[in-house]
Amino acid sequence: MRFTSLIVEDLKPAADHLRKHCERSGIIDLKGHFLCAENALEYLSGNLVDLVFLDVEMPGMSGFEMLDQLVYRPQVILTTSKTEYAYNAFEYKVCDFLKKPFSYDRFAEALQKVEVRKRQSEGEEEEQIFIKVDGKLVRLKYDDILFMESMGDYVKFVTADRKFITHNTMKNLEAKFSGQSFLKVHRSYIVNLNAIDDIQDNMLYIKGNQIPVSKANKGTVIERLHIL
Amino acid sequence: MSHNNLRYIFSGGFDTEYLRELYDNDIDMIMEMFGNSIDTMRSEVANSIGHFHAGDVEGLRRLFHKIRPLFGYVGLNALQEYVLDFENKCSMVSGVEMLSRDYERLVSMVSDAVVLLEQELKRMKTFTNLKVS
Repeated sequence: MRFTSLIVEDLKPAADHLRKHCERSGIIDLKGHFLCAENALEYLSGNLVDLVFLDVEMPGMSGFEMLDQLVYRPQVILTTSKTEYAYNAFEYKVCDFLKKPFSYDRFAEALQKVEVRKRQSEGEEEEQIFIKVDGKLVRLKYDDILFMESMGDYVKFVTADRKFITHNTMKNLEAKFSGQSFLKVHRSYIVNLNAIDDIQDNMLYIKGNQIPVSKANKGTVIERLHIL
Repeated sequence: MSHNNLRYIFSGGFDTEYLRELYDNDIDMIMEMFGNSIDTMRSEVANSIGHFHAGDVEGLRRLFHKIRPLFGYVGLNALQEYVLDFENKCSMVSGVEMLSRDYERLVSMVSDAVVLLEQELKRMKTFTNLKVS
């Protein structure tokens, strides 16, 4: 198991020491080091990582304030010199709390906790997806997606109250959503079968949206629906 | 070149066993950390003067909170307690004038620590050069 990671730490020697531990572990793919939470937040708004090594007190925004603003929650190992933050660490459900400076053995123990938690959450993660919209990552729960519509090199995700356009292809999404409650009903449409209100002839209807069903796909659509 | 597993004995005042454990006996890494810590201590103490003269107590607290772990990284663990004590005083006083004596004492201690670290770094460099040659 490997983890893409980020270091958010304003003390350079501490970051260097942590980086060496990461290299030694052989399972950390370090994506960067930020000296303040604001810059890390900007990076994380457009990029996904599995794990963040996070200091608490930094110039400007604190580590906890950064966590409050994240649109998704990577696993977090707090690295701080103040044991008083242990309670907050618990409240924020961070994976572990490392008091600086820490040995490699203690670091490795924290990584084991991350691995355990990742295994536990893998099932849950499959129920949601992050899409890149206007440079930000937006979380969509599978249940909230009504359908996806192809727009050339882009795809429109439609939910009950919002629409998101992201750079992607139907082919990619078809593969990504295979085995879920989604089905390609037309070369330009993948629909959430659980969201269909009714079907008539070669059209299906989802929350007022009319979606064509191609002749080639109609048989599969009928097969996947529970028809009495 | 790696000098792993060399049995370098640190001078009195440094916790040799602790440093060996923290850096897995990697003297190259220890030298790098000593060098970085000296640079950071020097620059942050210089920055602290501005906070002190501006009466910025919270700025002083945050600055010394930031560098406190450095003393742990270089095996001068007892100094961390002094810095923590200063941080706590910063949280309790209403003005920088109430911190003057503590601040001066702390700056003096950090300066002494920097001298100690420089001497130790020099010793380590001499030791590793002897081993290489």
